[in-house]
Amino acid sequence: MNGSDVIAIRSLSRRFGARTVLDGVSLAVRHGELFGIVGADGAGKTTLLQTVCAILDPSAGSVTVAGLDSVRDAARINASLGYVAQAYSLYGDLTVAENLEFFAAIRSVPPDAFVARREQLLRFSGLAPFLDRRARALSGGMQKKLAVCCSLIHEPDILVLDEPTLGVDPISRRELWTMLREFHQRGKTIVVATSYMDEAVACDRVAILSGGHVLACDRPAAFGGDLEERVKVLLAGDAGAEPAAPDRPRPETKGEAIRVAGLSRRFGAFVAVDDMSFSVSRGEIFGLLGPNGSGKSTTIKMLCGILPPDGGSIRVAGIDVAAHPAAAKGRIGYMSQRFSLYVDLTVDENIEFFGSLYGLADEMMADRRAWVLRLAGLRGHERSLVKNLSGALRQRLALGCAALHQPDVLFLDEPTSGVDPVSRDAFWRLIGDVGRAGTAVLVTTHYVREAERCDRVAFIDRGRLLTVDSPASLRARYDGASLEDIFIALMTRKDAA
Amino acid sequence: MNASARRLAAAARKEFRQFLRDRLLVALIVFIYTADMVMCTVALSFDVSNLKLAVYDGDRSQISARLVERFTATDYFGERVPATSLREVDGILDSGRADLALIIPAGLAQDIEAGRSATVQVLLSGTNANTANAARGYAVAIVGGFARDVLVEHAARHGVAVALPGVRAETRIWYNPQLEFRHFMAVSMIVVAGLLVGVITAAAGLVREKESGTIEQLIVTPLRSYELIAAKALPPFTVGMLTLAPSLLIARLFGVPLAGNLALFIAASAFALAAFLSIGFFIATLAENLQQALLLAFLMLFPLMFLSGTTVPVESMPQAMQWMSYFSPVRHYMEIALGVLMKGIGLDVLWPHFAALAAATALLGTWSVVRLKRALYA
Repeated sequence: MNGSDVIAIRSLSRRFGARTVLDGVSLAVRHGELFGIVGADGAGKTTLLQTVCAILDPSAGSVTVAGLDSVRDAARINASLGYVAQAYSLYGDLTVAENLEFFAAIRSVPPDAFVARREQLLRFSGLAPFLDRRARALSGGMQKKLAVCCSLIHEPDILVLDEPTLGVDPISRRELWTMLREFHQRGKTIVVATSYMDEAVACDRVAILSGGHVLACDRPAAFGGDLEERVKVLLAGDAGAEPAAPDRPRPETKGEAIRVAGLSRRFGAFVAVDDMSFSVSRGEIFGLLGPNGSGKSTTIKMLCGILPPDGGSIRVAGIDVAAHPAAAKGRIGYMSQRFSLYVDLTVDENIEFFGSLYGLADEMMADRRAWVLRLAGLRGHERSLVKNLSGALRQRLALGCAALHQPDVLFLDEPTSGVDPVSRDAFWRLIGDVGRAGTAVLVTTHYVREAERCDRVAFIDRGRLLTVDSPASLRARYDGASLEDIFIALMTRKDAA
Repeated sequence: MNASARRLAAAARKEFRQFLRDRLLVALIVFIYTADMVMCTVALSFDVSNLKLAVYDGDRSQISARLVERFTATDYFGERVPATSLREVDGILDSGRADLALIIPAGLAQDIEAGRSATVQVLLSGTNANTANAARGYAVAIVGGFARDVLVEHAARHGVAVALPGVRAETRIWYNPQLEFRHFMAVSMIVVAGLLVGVITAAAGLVREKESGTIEQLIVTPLRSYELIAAKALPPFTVGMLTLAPSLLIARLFGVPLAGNLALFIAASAFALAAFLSIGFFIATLAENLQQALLLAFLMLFPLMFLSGTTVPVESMPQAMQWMSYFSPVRHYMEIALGVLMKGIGLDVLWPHFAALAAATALLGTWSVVRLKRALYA
């Protein structure tokens, strides 16, 4: 440790009851450094950040921030740094201006300093036009930007962010990072937890956390080659029972699973979905990409028959959804971004419940149960309460429950948000399996990188379908650009228009 | 078993598992029907007995002593707190060491001897209006009886034998001969417990699905809204009906006669609990989270409780309120409970209440299913 260390973590351990979340972590963050923390779900990232912010006390070891001890001088540390928690720490019922004012007031920012900082932050965040809008009415990306602004309003020397770009669309993600870099260039220290490898690469140094231990800590370049691949290798032992994925060749499945023509939906004067037409074949994995508020969820809701369209027609598995919603429900599966399982029921009980709703019984039920347990790598966990499973296992179980009745079409609404890269990878292999079994999969995602794994991708913005094509053809059309670049090009072109 | 019955069975099984796994919730329900019932019945009893009586006897005569003794000889007045001055009486009442004070002025015996009219004063602490009202009645009756005796004695001493003709009101109190408020309270608590348990468990159970996001998952399955409501209602309904047994036992221990046909009461309870659960489900369709659901529940619970004769008789409310109370299932349940458990009357008299309760249950049940369908299923 040398004099320029602003955060010094020495042999830090943290236990919650019998569970050890951090085990002998030692790290030093230098003054003015942009420091990244990467790790799987449950690796201890949030606990580590909260200990640094003096929100949690260490069970053993010590944390000093700017020479202050995190236990004795907790209040002074709290006052000197900014913390952006994973959950939005904003007041949804207050406007953008009121949120900024509140956070300035509790940080005792003098009025004239407040005015100057507010102007600056609004300029960088692009939130100026939305001053009078309630925070809850902002898109996910704008909410995050506002949260960052609120944490910077007292000009802290250190900013700590817990996965700030989780569930944020690529454009907002870039804007957020522009804000962070601007703050960093003024000589401030940033500690950020992330599961995006491209963000980790942008850091000065990265620590890889696994099971409460630091596996490695170095400059991104020092890891050599593709950081994501390196991290996957490092974390490989960490992902739990690997789901068994028999790599059968895709059966020849012809025929349409979804046909949408002229689909429209308005909410008052707001056009959420505007004249959308596309079709998905059986066994196809179809990605729906778009920023927050682009109409992805509205589209899925209409396809599932829980929201009536204003115009156009939807046929799912040959059934006219608007005319026969009940009949269509038996042929589809749906998994929402919240992994909707009953956490107070066991794995088996969840499987049994969802299976019975679809009329599975006896031998059929036993067969499908075995399939889910194998698919999700959950054998041995049959009697565990879902609340005791890791995020990645829950996600796989949720997928299993949604596909239990062998639906013709499976809808996945941002199924991988909040899941680490290794588990995301495993999850996409499962999606591939479901597709190979002949089920059409329609998946929405924020991670453009994941879209590479779809057979075809549809880009949507403001309710309109911009383009539909396979990733390879898209890249060819755009001179080999990455899907993320294509996405941003498409969206910003719309903005300019 | 057809598809719908199978889905209902699956959903009910899931609900029972979750319900019974929530030990605290089950314990709370049993607590409301038993321990709460005992506590409220004991504590909220407005019976007047053993009131503390402050006595200032300025006369200190044989006759004044007789008056005081008449007070203390009854069960209504217990502990006697002597006061030596009027100022002290004030202090005793202020500090709550006595509930009422008997003030006998100097010269009582003299006035009576001389054939003059005499006055004694009774000071009542009105902090509890019910108690004060009852105590005033007893005090007036005691002093009246005393005055009559004084008159007869006075006449006799002057050689006149009077036979004062009198009319006595011969009162008989039916259904509750000791006029024990406790009996009423015990019956009322069974009704209120059903209302609380029904409304709150239903609202909380459905809102929980909303909060955790699992409701979305249910909506896209073939599970229908009425199947979901029926499955959600079953566990609290079952536990609510089962806990009627200890409740009735406790009521019996409090001396409630349980005079009528208990099957009739149990049938009424089933209808009422279903109606209360429906109110809870309706609340859950309006609320976004548990906090909102509970606040909404209390917003509805209090008027329902107070306007339905569970604390004050419906007859003592303004006419408009009385009309309104006809729409409350709580009122009809309360009438049936009092009728069956205290009066021992049957369906021949209670049928209008039964019909009203059944109609309210059917209406509320249908309404909550329709609301859920509208709010969630499209």
